[in-house]
Amino acid sequence: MSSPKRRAIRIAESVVASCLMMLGAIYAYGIFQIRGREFTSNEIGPSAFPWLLVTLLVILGTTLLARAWFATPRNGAGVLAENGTAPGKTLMAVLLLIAYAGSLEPVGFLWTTPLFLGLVSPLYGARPLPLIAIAGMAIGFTVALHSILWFGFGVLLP
Amino acid sequence: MEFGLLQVFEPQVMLGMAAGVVLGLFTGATPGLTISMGMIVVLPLTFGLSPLTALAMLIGLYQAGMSGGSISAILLNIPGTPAATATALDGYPLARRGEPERAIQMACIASFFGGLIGLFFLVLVAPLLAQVAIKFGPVEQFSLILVGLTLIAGLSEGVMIKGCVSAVVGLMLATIGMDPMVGTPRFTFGSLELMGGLSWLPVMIGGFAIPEILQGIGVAGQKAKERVGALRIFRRINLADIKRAYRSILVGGLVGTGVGALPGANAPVAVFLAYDLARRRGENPEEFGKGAIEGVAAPEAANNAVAGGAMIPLLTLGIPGDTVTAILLGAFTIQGFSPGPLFFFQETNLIYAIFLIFLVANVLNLFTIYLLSPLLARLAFMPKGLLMPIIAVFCVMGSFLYRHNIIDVYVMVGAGLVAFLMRRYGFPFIPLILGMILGPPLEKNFRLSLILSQGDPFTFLTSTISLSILVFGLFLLVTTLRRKRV
Repeated sequence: MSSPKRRAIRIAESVVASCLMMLGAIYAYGIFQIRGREFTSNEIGPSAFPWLLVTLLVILGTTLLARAWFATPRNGAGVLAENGTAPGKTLMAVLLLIAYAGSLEPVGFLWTTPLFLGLVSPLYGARPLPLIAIAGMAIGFTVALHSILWFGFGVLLP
Repeated sequence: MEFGLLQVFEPQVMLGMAAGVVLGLFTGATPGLTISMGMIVVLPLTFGLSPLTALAMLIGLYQAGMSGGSISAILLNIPGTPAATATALDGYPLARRGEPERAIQMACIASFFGGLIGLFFLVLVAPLLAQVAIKFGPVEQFSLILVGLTLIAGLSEGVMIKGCVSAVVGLMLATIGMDPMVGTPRFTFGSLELMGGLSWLPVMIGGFAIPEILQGIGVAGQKAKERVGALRIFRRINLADIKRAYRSILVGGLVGTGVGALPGANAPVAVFLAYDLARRRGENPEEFGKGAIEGVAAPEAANNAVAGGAMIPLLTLGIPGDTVTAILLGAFTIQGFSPGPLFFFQETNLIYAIFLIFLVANVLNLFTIYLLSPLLARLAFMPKGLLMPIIAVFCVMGSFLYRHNIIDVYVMVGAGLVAFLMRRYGFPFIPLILGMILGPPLEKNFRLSLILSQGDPFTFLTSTISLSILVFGLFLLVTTLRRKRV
């Protein structure tokens, strides 16, 4: 394995190990906030198991850090695995997913779903539909479902 | 009330069983729906039905749900149930190779034989197995879950230490919320939403689905019609596959029955144990994880054998081992029966009718999935541009439907992003989600064991059963370490 690649893996694994230590620190802070020892008459209170876990995490994080610097990374090590995605489009998909989840409550499922489907499909290389077609689908789907439920079953959707 | 075996074949009972099987396949295969949810929805519908029809519907749902989880695991790498996580390890590579039909057919055949093995032990040795199961206290249950979780961490792809980190993080996430014994809030940092804890279901949906959804986006030059299955091989299962996999099916069936019979033990522990034992005994262990047909057979046999095994403590002791059998206990009670030590003697005819229902539901499950397998396999050949956005919508719906809480949808998205990053940095996701699922019983048994032994940590070594389990686990760990990098 080339030296720059090895260095990159070392740095990445060190960053990951450091993040784990930070997570352990936050978790340990959370353990100190736990109340409830006064409700039990023995040592095995609500913080016993968490203390065990944070100890394990610190040991594992330290081992990862030591491994990053003192062990020779083998070819094909799992860090920075290439997954071949286009970062810009992946970020766009993530933002669309978050926007879809966030708009469910205020806007509703029926409006947002066709919009989401129409906007995400082109990210996979499908031909993008004109925005007016997507809007038309959303409106059409909503009107159709509301009509079927109201005229067919007398149910009015919120 | 008298029950005859022939009553099982009455139209109403068979119709109820068929409805249960179809519902079970749907709930098992759909990420976001669980077998428990399906049974909870169906339970009120059984109030007005005859006892046999009600039980046929619920048992059909249970068995089919266990098999149904493998369908999405194989086709999409998104397990429909936690028990199907091991199936994805080899099932999805098979689908990517263009052999989804072969994988699904092996899954349903293995499920059938696994279910038969579980039923065999249920019929012949249920009271004896129950006597063994009753010796499993908190100490033994803790050791079993610990060994299972360590095995899961060791079997996941990549280096073992990263698997252990994932498992520990999963256990930590499981501690968020109210303490189960004392009721004090833990790691909520003043947030009301976190008082109920983090639900594992949206984390599982997001963790498996989102990386798959994001994986194939917009690679330069990628055609819009790229599919999960690269080649249309249309390869079906044949006798050579059965010959290769029959030992794995046997191992899976025995392990699933044994683990399923233990109260509190979980299907994920059984499937991974079966997977590991099948890999060790296999002729080509290096093929596991890359599309070995035995890697589909063993966990599928185990997860259906668990269904039979889990009925043993339920029927003989009246002790449900998990949520699903707790719902079944509720169904028995509603129909006026009380499973327990005298049940086998007081309701012998009903017991035999239940055994026959298990057998018939198993056969129905086999034929349904086998006949549907060519159609299901075509999902692997759907264009990603169409399939992935639809899966994303199902994931959002599934996360919301669980508790009707929009926070679960955000958790699903967040978990998905974390899992995507974990994949890039070589951390397997399976130990994390199974850590979340197994964390509560692991902690409960840990604390109970120490309370009962008045704080003596050697209590886990003084119990013969616990010591045997730990020694066995250590043996598995050492042999796994020799095979893999640490």
